Amino acid sequence: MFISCHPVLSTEARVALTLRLLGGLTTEEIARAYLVPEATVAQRIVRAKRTLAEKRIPFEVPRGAELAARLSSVLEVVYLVFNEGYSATAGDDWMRPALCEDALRLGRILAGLMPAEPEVHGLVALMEIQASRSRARLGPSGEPVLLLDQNRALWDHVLIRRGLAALERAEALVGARGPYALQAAIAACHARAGTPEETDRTRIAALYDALARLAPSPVVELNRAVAVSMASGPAAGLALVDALTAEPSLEGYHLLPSVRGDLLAKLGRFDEARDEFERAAALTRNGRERQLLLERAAACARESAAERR
Amino acid sequence: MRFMMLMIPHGYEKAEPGAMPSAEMVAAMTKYNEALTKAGVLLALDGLHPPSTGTRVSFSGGKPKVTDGPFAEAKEVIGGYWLIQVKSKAEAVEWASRCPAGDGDVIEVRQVQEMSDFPPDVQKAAGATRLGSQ
Repeated sequence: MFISCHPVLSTEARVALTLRLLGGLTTEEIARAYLVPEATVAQRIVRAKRTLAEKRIPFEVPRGAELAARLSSVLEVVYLVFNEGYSATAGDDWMRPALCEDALRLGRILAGLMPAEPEVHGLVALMEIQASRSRARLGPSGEPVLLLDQNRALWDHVLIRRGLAALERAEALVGARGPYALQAAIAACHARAGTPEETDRTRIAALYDALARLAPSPVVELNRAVAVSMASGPAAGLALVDALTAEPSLEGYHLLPSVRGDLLAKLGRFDEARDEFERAAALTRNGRERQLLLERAAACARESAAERR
Repeated sequence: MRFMMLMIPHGYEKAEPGAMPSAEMVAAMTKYNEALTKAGVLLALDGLHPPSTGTRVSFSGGKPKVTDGPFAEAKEVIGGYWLIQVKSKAEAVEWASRCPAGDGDVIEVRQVQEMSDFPPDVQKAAGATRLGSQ
């Protein structure tokens, strides 16, 4: 895994090679999972092997600072594979959910090989807990179901227990949580709550504060805004989201107007909310999601009209 | 894919309450469980107290009937299980084959039903809908 995730290779090459060598996936299976032609995958793998040979990459596991850097790359590849399966767009190809299983398995193997690395346990914890929700995330017609709307009886408590145990291992190893452990801790807050109302929202907001300091990014900041709105009300959240509207990397990101619309609606600013939901609907590539967003826009229009009477 | 490996230990139907496996058996089984963990396939496992401590609830004419163990007619009883996540039934069977089981022990390998195995109307009945949806 440390060889297949060498930084001399591109990310796509690392993912393909890791899945082939460690996951045992055929090029056809990898191609289906990533929706690229089989020939592309085959080429990537051939070239990756050739690059490793040409650069005479040694087959030893790196040490010291190099190990830390390579481990980070390995974890990144594993989580990329997991997310590819987790965010399966149509949900009809059986290969996509299997990617989650592959990633989880690789993560667990890594945890067995490197039990003293807290972020390995952190990543495993995050994946176990996210995977625990897979039965509840899609409705019978393939429509997405938001976390707060999910039927929690469908959450896999075997995986939740495993995730919480892995998180404990990560936290026992080191004082401060790394980014994966922080994300796992956030997921754990949801996992522990029997109902949405029981969710420890203050804790989630505090964890996002820590994540934003440790691994800042516009997406993290957006998630933090949602958490703050849950803990302290929509106005507080909106203040944070407004600061992101000019952020270039979020320009085509449908969740930004979607979140803004939600907060505006909660504040009774229905006309502005409708505009945002329509903007979000235009940006998303997922048909079901577009439908949901347009429904929300229509609901705002009705509220707005009712107010004017 | 998930599978259950159901351990049917030889003679467990006759085991007394508090019956324990030998230290060697426990050591061997611990190594096996560690191998399952290290391979990233183990999800859960548990051992069960013998049927002599158990109770059966049987159903007839819509009424439940409660009977305490041991159960004279039972020839094969479950002693424990492993829940594993693997790529295929063949892999599950391979893992079961590696179990340091005793003479006469049997492991039954059964696939776990997944929500996606069911048609939409069954899924709906099983609760797979958006809460509060019309």
